[in-house]
Amino acid sequence: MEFSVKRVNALFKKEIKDFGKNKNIAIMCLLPIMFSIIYSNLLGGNSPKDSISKVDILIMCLGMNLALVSSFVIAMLIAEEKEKNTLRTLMLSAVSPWEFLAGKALIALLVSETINIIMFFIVGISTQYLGQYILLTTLVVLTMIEIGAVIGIISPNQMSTGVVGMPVIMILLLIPLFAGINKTIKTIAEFLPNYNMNLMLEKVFKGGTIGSGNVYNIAVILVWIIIAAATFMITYNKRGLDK
Amino acid sequence: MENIISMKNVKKDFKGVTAIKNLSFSIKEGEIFGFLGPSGAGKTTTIKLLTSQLIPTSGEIKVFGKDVYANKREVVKNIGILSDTSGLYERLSVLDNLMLFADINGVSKKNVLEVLEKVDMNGEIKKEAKKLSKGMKQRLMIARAVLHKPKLLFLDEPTSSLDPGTALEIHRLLRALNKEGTTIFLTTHNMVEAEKLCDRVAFLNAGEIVEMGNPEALKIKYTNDDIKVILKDKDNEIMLKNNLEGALRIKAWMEEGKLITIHSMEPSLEKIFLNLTGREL
Repeated sequence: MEFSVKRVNALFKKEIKDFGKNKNIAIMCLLPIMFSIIYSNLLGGNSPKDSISKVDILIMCLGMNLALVSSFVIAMLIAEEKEKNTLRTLMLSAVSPWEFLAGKALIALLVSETINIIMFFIVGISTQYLGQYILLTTLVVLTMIEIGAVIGIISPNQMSTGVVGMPVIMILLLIPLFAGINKTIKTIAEFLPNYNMNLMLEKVFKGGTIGSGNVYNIAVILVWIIIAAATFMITYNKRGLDK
Repeated sequence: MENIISMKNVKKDFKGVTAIKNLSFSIKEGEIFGFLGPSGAGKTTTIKLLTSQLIPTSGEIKVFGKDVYANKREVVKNIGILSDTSGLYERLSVLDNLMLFADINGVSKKNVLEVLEKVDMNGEIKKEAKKLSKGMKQRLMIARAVLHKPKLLFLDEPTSSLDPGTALEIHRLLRALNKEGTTIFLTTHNMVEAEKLCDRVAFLNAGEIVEMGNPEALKIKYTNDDIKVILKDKDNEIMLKNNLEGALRIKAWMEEGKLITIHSMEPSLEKIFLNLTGREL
């Protein structure tokens, strides 16, 4: 396995320069923030009698950020590289698949986590939970970034990322939402990274701590990170070849 | 000199259709090798096979003396490529487009600016790539391909969208790179370009090499016996055969002071290709 920090830094610098000029991506990044403001004002409240708690609002907005930003931003960035033939140029340079993924993942991680933190403050959760919140969300953001990277590498262009990615992302987001209404759905949800993150976040926000009781939750997320990374590597190498 | 590229009995099928048939050739280090052929002859497929973008159906491909697929990473680090599948980062400036690949390959900014000067783009460094003309984009892609002074450079129709002046500049740049030791594999439709640049050319037709050699040597090989003569008092050219009768007529015109020029009639590369394949380039 070949990995050069210098080359990752070069790719990351390019992403930073390009990111500000990409209007489509900028709009997608603003959506979770806008919705967290709207939900907080319309649905949120401090009293237990309020229809939806702050934690539920944050988890709902977090789901949106995981889908729109963590997954789709990287999917669109990679699909654009394919569409404009720059991915082929990179594949025929010294850049390895790991370096390419790291360059893209860093920008997606930076943006996703920034939005996660902004939403945390907008919703108004106590800052004593911020550290654990960042740690837990980062793990799932990484998983979603890798899934997004696979969607991007499979999609022939930016437009098709929606068609290719929407079913996968919807399954990942809707199953945890409906886990409470059906035992089978709950069993399936237990294998999903975001559902396990939600469980741990709810525990943290209730004043609990992440410990040995959460080994299964963390293991599920880590397995997803490893499987998604391996899938990306295989797909990247396959896509480097024409048929 | 060692072979930098060698292909032995390479065949490539696409869903039952054979694009490359039993292709065998080698290129020595330091050569400029031209691959000539009409659209669909298999030129781009050959470049893709040599750069590990395609796997051959059968045969052996070696680049830098090593199997191209087993040593893909090592091979791609030492090559530069300009093809129809090359692209630019449209929202980035000319300089940023090059700096990305300079940083990837460990090339200094000073060298980037030197290459930009060579392709006559030092006045455009801040311009976004999307605002460049087609010719300018082609120059930028050439600059990117040669930025890290690769040992082997693949160019697929490098001057197809350039004006004659810029094409001349690119030819100078390619010759300078070649003098510094870069081997160049070039595909082109431009026969003048092939004649001016290439040490050897190969004619590719329907996936097969039909002729290969030095352009001058090929022209002599396929020359005919005709001689073209232009006289002072004649409007038209006179065609003679290269034999005793023709020589006597020329002698007579010379004695009479009527002769202006005598031309031997070597065929152009295009004509040789037409004669060999019945197809135009």
